[in-house]
This record gives sequence, C-alpha cells and structure tokens, in this order.
Amino acid sequence: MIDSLYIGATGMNAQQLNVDTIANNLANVNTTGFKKNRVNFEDLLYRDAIKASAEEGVTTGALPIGSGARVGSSLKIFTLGDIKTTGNPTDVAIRGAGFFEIVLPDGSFAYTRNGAMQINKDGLLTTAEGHPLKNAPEIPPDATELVIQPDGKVLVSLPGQRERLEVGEIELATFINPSSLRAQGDGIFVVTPDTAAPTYAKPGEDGTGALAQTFLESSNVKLIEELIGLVVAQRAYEINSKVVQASDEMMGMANNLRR
Amino acid sequence: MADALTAAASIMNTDMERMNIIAHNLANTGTVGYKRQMSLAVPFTERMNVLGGNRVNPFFAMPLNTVGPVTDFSSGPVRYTGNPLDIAIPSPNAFFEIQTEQGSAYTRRGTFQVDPQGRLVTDQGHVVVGETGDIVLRSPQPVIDAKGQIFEQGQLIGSLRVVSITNPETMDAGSGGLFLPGDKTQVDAAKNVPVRQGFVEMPNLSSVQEMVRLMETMRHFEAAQKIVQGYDDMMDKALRKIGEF
Repeated sequence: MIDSLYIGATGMNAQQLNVDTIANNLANVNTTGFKKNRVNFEDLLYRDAIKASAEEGVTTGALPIGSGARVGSSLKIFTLGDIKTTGNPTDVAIRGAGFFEIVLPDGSFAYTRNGAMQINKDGLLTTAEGHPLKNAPEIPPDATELVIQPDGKVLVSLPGQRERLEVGEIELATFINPSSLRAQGDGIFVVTPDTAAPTYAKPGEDGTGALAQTFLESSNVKLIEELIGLVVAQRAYEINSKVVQASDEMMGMANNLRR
Repeated sequence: MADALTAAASIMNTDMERMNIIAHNLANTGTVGYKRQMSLAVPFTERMNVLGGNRVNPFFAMPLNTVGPVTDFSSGPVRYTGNPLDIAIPSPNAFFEIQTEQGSAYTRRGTFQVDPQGRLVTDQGHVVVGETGDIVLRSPQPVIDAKGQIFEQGQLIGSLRVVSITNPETMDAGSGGLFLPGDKTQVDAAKNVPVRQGFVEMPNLSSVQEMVRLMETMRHFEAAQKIVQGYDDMMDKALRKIGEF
C-alpha cells in the first residue's frame, strides 16, 4: 500500500524535472543558437509479487507491479531555429546541420551553433567568449571588409587592392548522434563518451548547411509548445499529488480501524 | 464470525493493490509508449471458499480477489513532436522489434536515438531490429516513410521491422516500455501497418477515468473499514451486554 505513496512521489518528481526543463527552455527563448531540451519519461521496474492463482495450490508466474515513472533522459533537440538578419559582418548562421568547432583555453575542442563572432587582437575569428575557431583564418588588421562565403571561404578586402584575398576556410563538424553532446553553457557543446567522432565537411556539402553571413540563428524554442507542455506538466503533477493524498487517507483509515 | 473480519481485511488488501496500479498509471501519464494497467478481479466467493488452504497469499495472509494487473493494449493518442527519430504506430497490436540481452522484445515506444556506431537504438540503448539486420545511419535526420523504409539523402538504407501480435496480453511488461514475449505469444510479420515519423504515441489512459477509479477504490476501502468497525462494535456489545452478570 505504501507503494502507491512512493509511486505518486515518483510521478511528482518526474514532472518537477519536466517543469525545470521547460523553465530553462523558456528562459533561453532569445538565446542565439540555443537548442531546447526535451524530457523523456520511462516507466520504472516491474517488481514481481507472489501471485495467488486459481488452481489448487499452484502459484504460477508473478504479478508484475510497476513502480512509477522517472525521467529516463533529457535530450537536446537539434531542430533549426529561425535565421534572423543582424547586418553585422562577423555574425554567421548555419542554414542547416553542422557545428563550428572551437578551441577551449585548455586546448580541447568544443562545438557551437552560436555564430555571433568577434575578431580578437591576433586577428582570429572567435566566439563571443573569446574561444577561437579551429584553424581560424587570420584577418589582417588593415582589412576593410570581411566576406564569409556560403561555402566557408573567408575573404578580406585590403586597401589598395581590387581583388579580395582568401585568408582561410571555415569547416563544419557533424555528428551522427548530436543528442549525445553535453551542453556546457554559453552555447558550447562538448563530446561525451557516447558521441561518435565528428566528420568534417565544407559548409553546404555532406548534409551540412551553408553559411549565411550577417545572420544569426535564434533558439528553436517554440513558445506555444513550451507553454502547453507547462500546463500539462502542472496538471500531471497535480494528479500525482492526488494519488499521494488518497494513499495517505487510506493509510489513515487503516490506522483508525481500532478507535 | 471470523469471516466478516477476514473478508474486510481482504477487501482492504485488494484495494491497496488497486491503488498501486492506479498510482503507476497516473505516474506515467507522460511516458511515451506506456500502456495502462487494469486490475482484473475474480468473484470473491471463489477466494473465500479456500480460506486456510494453500491458496492463501503468503504475502498478505489473506486471499486477494484480484488476479493481477492486466495491460490494456489499445492505442493511445499520437502526438506530433517533429523529431525525425520519433516514430509512432497508430494502429493497435503492432510493435517494433528490439534486440535485448534476453532476446527479442517488443515495444511501442518509438523515441529512437543513434548510438556512437550509427545504429538505430531505443533511448535505453537497445538495438532496433530492421528487416535486414541492424539499421546503421549516417545522419540523425533520416526520412522514414509510412512502410517503415528508411531513406538517407534519397537512398534506401533499411527498413524497420514491425510485427503484429494478436495476443499481446500474453507478454510480460518490462521497464522502459519493453514487452517480453511469453510462451504463447504469436508474433507475425506485420502487413500494411503504417508508421508515422515525427510522432510519438502517448499513453492510452484518461486521467478522468483513473481519478474516478481512485475515488471508487478509496470509498470501497472506507466501506471495508466500516465493516471492521461495525464488527468490532458487535463484538463489543456481545461481550459487554450479553456477558454481563
């Protein structure tokens, strides 16, 4: 009997995590390159209770009694966000799949969709936090114009020269299972042991999206979807709390059998 | 006389088991591919008639009149998620085949993922069986048509194995939405069972129905409590009044 109390509690806990996830999604509705999380519920272990069977003296098989629910996984959903124009020449969006590969201060690689870039003091293209792109093209300090072509080639215009100079190329990394990447905050994803090795491609080839300069990708959070999810989560939480209350009342009745 | 007390205790134990089933259903209102459980009861007199025999449930020392939780395999509502690896089977009695350590298992939970080797797996990591073996993907966004055929950039790379089971009630429920086949489970290749990509199947339970059963169970429990109290009163009167000297 106490089971139903705990089962109700597992339901409430699971919905609580759901609400937390929705709250995080909503908080990041305007974050460039943010990818929403989705929670997956699973039903919990079925424990076997002894079965009283209809045949004389035979206990056949077992009663599979479930133990509630839990959040099995919370995965990032990598659908595309809307691409919005900013007019800023160092802003780049990926019109499709793929990640920019960046170098973290400790030398390890990380991945991001956030293309709001800057040029640091060494002339390298970096993210807004200052992490440079891997094999970042070096922009000469006297460049007057920066052009990032949809196929990844980076060109600059130098004073006194009519032709643009190619200074480098941006490659994109793709994964067969991007949902296994771990979000580290600041729009940065790192690989986990479950992630397959990335494959590199020029933007626009091999399933990656082309680059779009002066555009930024907004988050893929859909307000209506999240709000409906919030309503459902709240009601599911409430119904599980009713189960807890009912179990409690029943236990109270059992306790009061003898007045 | 002992019958009334035993009967009432039995009612209360049975109701507790029912509560567990209802609680498990309600905890899983959001679990993809969950199938609701119902409690199946047999006539109480059958149970009571063998009181004291070896059919008494040793756990509770009282006979229960429920045979146990039975899974309701009707289809649940199908919800759109837009995720290319979410797949739902809208019609009942058809399942995806999954490879586990204990052999084949079947599920309706179509929230699939890609593992580091590129194979299509369930979200617990079990490999999804395709018509021609494992399904190996090169990108997480394949196109899956209504027949379960999987295309990547226009090329057919595999097909989902969907099976039709006419007697799913013979399967045992495992966690994570898996059903393990029993000895009598009849598994056939499915014919003309459409699958939908970008959709998930939500549980086939109605909160209203579960709440009504919850209230019904509670009041039933309360009624049994009254039986015990009434019996207690009767014995009290019998002992005090009739036994007065």
